[in-house]
Amino acid sequence: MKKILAFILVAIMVLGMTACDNSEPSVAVLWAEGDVAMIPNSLINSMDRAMYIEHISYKYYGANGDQAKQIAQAKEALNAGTKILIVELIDSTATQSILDLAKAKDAYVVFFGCEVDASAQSYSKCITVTTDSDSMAATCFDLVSEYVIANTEIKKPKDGDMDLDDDGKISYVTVGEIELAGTQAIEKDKKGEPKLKKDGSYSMAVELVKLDAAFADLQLDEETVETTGLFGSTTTYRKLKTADGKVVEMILVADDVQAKDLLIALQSMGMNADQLATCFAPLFTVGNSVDYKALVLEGAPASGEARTAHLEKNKFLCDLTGVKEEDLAQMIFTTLNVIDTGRLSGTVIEDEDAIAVTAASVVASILKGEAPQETVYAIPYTTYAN
Amino acid sequence: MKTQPGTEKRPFGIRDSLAYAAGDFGCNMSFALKGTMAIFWTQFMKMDSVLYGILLILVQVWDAINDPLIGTIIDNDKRTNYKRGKFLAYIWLGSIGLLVGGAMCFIPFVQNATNLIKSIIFVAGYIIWDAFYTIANVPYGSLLSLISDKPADRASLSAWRSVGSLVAQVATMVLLPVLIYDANNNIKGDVVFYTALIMGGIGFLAFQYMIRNTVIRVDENAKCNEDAPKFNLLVALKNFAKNRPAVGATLAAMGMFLGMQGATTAVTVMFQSYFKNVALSGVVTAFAMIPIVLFTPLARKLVVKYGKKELATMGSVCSVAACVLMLLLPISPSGSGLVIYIFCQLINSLGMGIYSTVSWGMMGGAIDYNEWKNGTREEGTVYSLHSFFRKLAQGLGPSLALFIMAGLGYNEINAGNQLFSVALNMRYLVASLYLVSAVMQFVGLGLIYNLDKKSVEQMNTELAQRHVDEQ
Repeated sequence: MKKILAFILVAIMVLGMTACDNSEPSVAVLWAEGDVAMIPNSLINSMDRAMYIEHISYKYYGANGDQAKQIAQAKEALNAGTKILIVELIDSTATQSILDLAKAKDAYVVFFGCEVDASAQSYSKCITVTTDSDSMAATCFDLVSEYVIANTEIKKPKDGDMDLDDDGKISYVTVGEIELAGTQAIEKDKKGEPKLKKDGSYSMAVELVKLDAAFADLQLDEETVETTGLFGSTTTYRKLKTADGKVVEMILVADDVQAKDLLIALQSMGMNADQLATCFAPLFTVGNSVDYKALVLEGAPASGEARTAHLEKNKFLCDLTGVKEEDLAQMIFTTLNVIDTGRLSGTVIEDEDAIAVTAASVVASILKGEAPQETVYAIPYTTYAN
Repeated sequence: MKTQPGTEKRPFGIRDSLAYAAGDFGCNMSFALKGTMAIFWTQFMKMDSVLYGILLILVQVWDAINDPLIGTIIDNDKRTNYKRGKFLAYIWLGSIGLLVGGAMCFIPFVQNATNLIKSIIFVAGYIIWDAFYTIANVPYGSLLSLISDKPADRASLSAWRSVGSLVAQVATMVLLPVLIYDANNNIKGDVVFYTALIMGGIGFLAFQYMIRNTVIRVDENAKCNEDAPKFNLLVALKNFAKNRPAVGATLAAMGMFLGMQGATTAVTVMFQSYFKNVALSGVVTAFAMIPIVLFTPLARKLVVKYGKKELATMGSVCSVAACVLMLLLPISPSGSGLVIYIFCQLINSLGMGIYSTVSWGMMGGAIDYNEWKNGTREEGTVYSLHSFFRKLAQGLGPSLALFIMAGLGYNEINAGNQLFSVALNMRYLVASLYLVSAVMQFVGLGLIYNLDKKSVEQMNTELAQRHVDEQ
C-alpha cells in the first residue's frame, strides 16, 4: 500500500511540474474595446475559448475605442517580444501603422473581425480573417427559402399562411441595400439538396417577387381575414399593401439597426406586436449588434425596487444610463430575443465562434512554422429563425 | 398459484424480486429529477444562485425532519384493516401523490414572478414532493424485512432494489438531457415540467405493479424493542463519536455525497458551456457507471480475499489518482478533452463505486465493533446517525457547490451559455469537488476506519466466543 501511494505521489508531482509553463507568451491580442469578456455572445469570449483549445497563451490589451492607444499597445507588445499580433482594428485607416510596427520586428499580424484597407496586401506576414458578402447573401437566401417553404401552402391555399393573396408567389420589399441571392424558394432535403418528384421537377418551389416600393409607401389594408383554430379561437389577419394594391408578404432589411426602426413602425401600425402573429409581416434582417438590453429586460421584475436592483446588478451587460423608464418598456428587442417572441422571423449573423476558431487556428499554424494564406475566410454566418 | 405448505402465501421467487425492483424504479422516477432542479431554478426561472442555495439548505433541513416525522406517523398507525397491509397502503398513497409531486418542483408558469413568489413556489413544491416521496419510500424500505425473513431472500431483494434503481437512473440520465435542453444547451423549463408529469405516471405504474405483486409474509404488526431504553441524542452522539469505524465510514459516505451531489450542477454547466453539448452529459455519466456494474458481481469474492477496508481504501486511492489526473491533464473543450474526461471519470466512478458496494457492510462492522469494545450494539442509533449524516451531506453538497459556483462567476442570466472563463472554472471545480470527495473517503476509510481484515477476523472470533459463553 505504501509503495503504491509513494508511486502515485511522485507521478502527481511530475505531472504537476510538466503542466507548468513559465515562458512569456509570444502572442498578443489587441481588442478594439475592452479586454475582458463580459458577454457570452461576443467575439472576445469566443476567442478566449478558441485560443484555449489551441493551447495558445497570449497577452491581451483593450483600446476602449481609441485607435492611437491601440497603436501604442501594438508597439509595447512588439517591444516585449511578441511575434504574432492579433488585431481587432478600430479604424481601417490604421492598417498601415500596425503593419509598419510589425515589419520592423518581423512579426506576423492577424487582423480579424474588422475592416482593413488595401495596405494589408503589402506585407507578406499579414493575414486577414474575415467573412465575405457572397456567403452572407447565400446564407440569407437559404434562411428565407426555408421559411417560405415551411409557411406557404401553394397547393392548398389556406388562410393564415404566408401567401396572403393566394397567388402562389411571395412578394416582398427591401429596406436598405440588400438583395436576395435567388428568385425561387425550393424545398430541400436534410442534406440540403433540392427535393425532386418522380418526374424530376421540384417537389415544391415558390417564386419570390421583389416589389418596387418603399416601406414608407406601404399601407395597412382594412380587409381582414379570420381563421378559426383549436377550441374555436379566431385569429384576424390584416395585410400590408403597396400604393398600387399589391400585397406585401415579406420584408427584408439590410441590418438589424434598420430592422429595429422598422419594427417600431410596424408596431405603430398594430403589426408584429406579439407572438401570436395575428397581424404580422415576416421580417428578416442581417446583423448581430447583440442587444443585451433585451436579455436584461426579459429577466427583470415588472416594477419596483426589485426591478431597479436587477437593472443595476446587470448594468455591465448594457449601459442603461439616461434611458427613461417609459422607453425601456417600449424598447424593441432585436436579434435573438425578438425572434424568440415572434416579432422577427429570422436573422443572419456573423458567426463569432467561427471567426475566433479560424483566427486561433491561423495563429496555431504560424506557431508550427506553417505559412497561412493571406486572406482566410471563416465559415461566415449562422442563422436564427422562428 | 403455488403456495408454501401450511400457508396460503406464494413462495418467494423472482416475482417478488421484480416487484421490489419496480418499487425503487418508481421512487427514482421522481428522485432522478432532483439533479435538474438547480439548473431549472437558476437558469430557466432566473432565481439568484445564492438565494436558491439558501432555500435548498432550508428544504434539505426540512427533508431531514420530514423522514422521521412520517416514519413515526406510519409506525404509530395501529389500524389493521388495510386490504394489502399497512405499508403497501402507504406506498399506494405516496404513489398517488407522486403522480404530480415531481412536477410540483418544476412549475414553469411563474417565470416572470418576483423572487418572493418563486421562492414560495419552490419551497412549497419541494415540501409536497418530499412528503409524498417519503410516504412511499420509508415503508418501501421497511418492506424488505416483511416480504421474507430468510437472509438469502433479503439479499436477493436488496440486490434487485439496486437493479431497479440503476435502470431508472441510467434511463433518466441518458434520456433527460436529450429531452430537456435545446440546441443552444439551454434548459426548456416547460418540457421539464411535462417530462416530470410523464415520469410521475410511469412511476405510478411501477408502484402499482409492485403493490399487486408483493406478498407480505412476515407479520408487520410484530412489536419489537418494547423494552428498549429511552433514546438520548447527546449520549448517542457521544457513543457514535467513540466508535472509530462508524466515524470513518460516515466521513467516507459524507465525502462521497458532498462531492457527487455537489458536482451534479457543476457538471451540467460544464457540459453546457465548456463542451457545449449538454445532451452528452447523461451518456457520459451512464458510461462511467460501466466499471462498477462490471465490478459488482466480483465484489463478494474480492471482499472475502482482501477485506472490506482494504478494498474500499484502494478504491478511494484510485479515485484520488483519477481526480488529480482530471485536474492536471489537458481536458480541453474538444473531442480529445472529452475522451480524457471520460477516462478519468471511469476510474473515479470505479473507486467510488467500490466503496458504495461495501459501505453498508462496513457499517455492519462498526456495529459489531461497538459490541466488541463496549458490550452493546446500539444498532438503530448507529444506523440512524449514519443515515442522518449521509442525508446532511446530500443536502449540503449541492448548496455549497452552488455558492462556490456563484463565487467563480456563474451567472444564471447567461443560462447555458456562460462566459468561457466561467466554463473553465466549472471544469476545474468539477475535478476539485470529486477530489475533495475522494480525499474524504480516503481519510475516513484509510486513516480512521480501523477494522482491517485481521481485526475483523479477530473481532468475529471473540464475539462468537462471547455469545457462546453467554449461552
